[in-house]
Amino acid sequence: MIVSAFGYSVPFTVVLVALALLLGLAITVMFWLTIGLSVYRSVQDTQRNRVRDELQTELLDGVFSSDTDWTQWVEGLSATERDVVESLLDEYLRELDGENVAQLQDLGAILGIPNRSKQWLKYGGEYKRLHALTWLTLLGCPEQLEQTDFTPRTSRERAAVVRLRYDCDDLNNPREGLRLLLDNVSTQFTVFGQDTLYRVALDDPSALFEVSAVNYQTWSEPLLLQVLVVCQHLGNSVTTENVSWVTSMLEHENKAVRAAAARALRNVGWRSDIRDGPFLDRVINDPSPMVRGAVSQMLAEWGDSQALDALRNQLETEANPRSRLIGTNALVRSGERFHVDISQPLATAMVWSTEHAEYDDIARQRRQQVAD
Amino acid sequence: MDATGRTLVVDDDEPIRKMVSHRLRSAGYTVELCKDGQEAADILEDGLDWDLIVLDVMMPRLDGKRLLRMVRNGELGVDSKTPIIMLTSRGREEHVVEGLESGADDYVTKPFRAPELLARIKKYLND
Repeated sequence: MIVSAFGYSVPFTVVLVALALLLGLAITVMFWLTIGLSVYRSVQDTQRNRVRDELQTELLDGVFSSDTDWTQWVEGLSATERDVVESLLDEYLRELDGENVAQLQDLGAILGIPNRSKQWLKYGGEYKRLHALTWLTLLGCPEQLEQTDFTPRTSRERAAVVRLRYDCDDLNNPREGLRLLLDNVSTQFTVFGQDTLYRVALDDPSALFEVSAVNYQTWSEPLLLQVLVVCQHLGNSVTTENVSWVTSMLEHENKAVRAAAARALRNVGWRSDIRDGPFLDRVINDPSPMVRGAVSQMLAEWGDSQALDALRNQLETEANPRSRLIGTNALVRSGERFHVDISQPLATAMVWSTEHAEYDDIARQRRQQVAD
Repeated sequence: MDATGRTLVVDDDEPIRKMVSHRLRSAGYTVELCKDGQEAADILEDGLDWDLIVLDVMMPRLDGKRLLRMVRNGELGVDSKTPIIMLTSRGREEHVVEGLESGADDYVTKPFRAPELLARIKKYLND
């Protein structure tokens, strides 16, 4: 068979042999590149490990000495040694607090990390920019953001910027950080982002409810769930009047969102408008057992007579065994019982919950006795 | 240096082990390092006298809480009343209370101030 192209005619066998040779050459090149890179990395790791112990001791000597000359020390380091020192610096800045951190931050500045971070913020890709923001947080340099006129482009960068400014006390108020995190976004946070949201919101829980009320309609369901989970963990210091966006989430089509909304409302049971009869009737009859379970915990947490009556009513008609048990557990934990005769499945659940609570108390007392 | 005291530092985080041992050795104390709870349990099983144990909570193989219970229950050769300082990043109030209820003598959370840790350690070693 003959293959013709561009005015040439070549036997097909020759074409196959040429292709095989090219493929073989490519595989050979890849093989040697892989071997070469592995050897290079191995040599680098060996060099790093060889100097790490000594550098770590010198670093600790410097950190705990009052007259350390970091400039002279850094000038005497090779490129590999600088690399090792930077990785050690990263680790110790995360573990230490107090006056020794200032020493480490001085070392970071002498190593040129803030200036390098500034370049990464200007010209780097997202990974480099996040790396830069992490370093600036560890080194306590929020001013670099202003100097580079940096604007976060992704939700991960928003979280990193807020964490930097929060850790360095550079936010004018928590609301500013919350708006930076939540205004005009729709995608969910990473775990770091959600943790940052929680930390900032803890300083002003009401601000989170208020900023969320303005933005929640633009959020994706995962982001909505993350914010509701944060609201759930803010404790009892939520004083805002604006929780209507959370109560409206009890009507959401996704049962996970409805359950998260019920958990978020545990802390705001003092509000009369969400404890009115029609509202309670609606939420205790939710079609999802998971949501009814969350609602029963919410009612037990509120703990007033109206909420506890609603919880008892819910349990008397609860058909799902799991939801029933969650409800009886919540009722018993709040120190309440039924005052009238109850149906057999509910009575069994109450017995189980009561015994469980008693054994839990005994175990805790026993542990206390052992500790004493 | 006239300081005396044998301290066992148990932490899976190598920089922390180095840092604590650096401070204690600078102060003249004898320090042994372990990188997880199981290694520490093997050493404590030998029944040598230890004046203090500095213990991380979350570690591979055997965690700090379990090792603490083993020491307090007398399951190891070491004196069950040996002072133990927990060193951990689990710094929420309930974690601290839980740690102290489990039998720890003191609780230091990361990130920590090195002078504060050293002061607490010295308190137990000099008692």
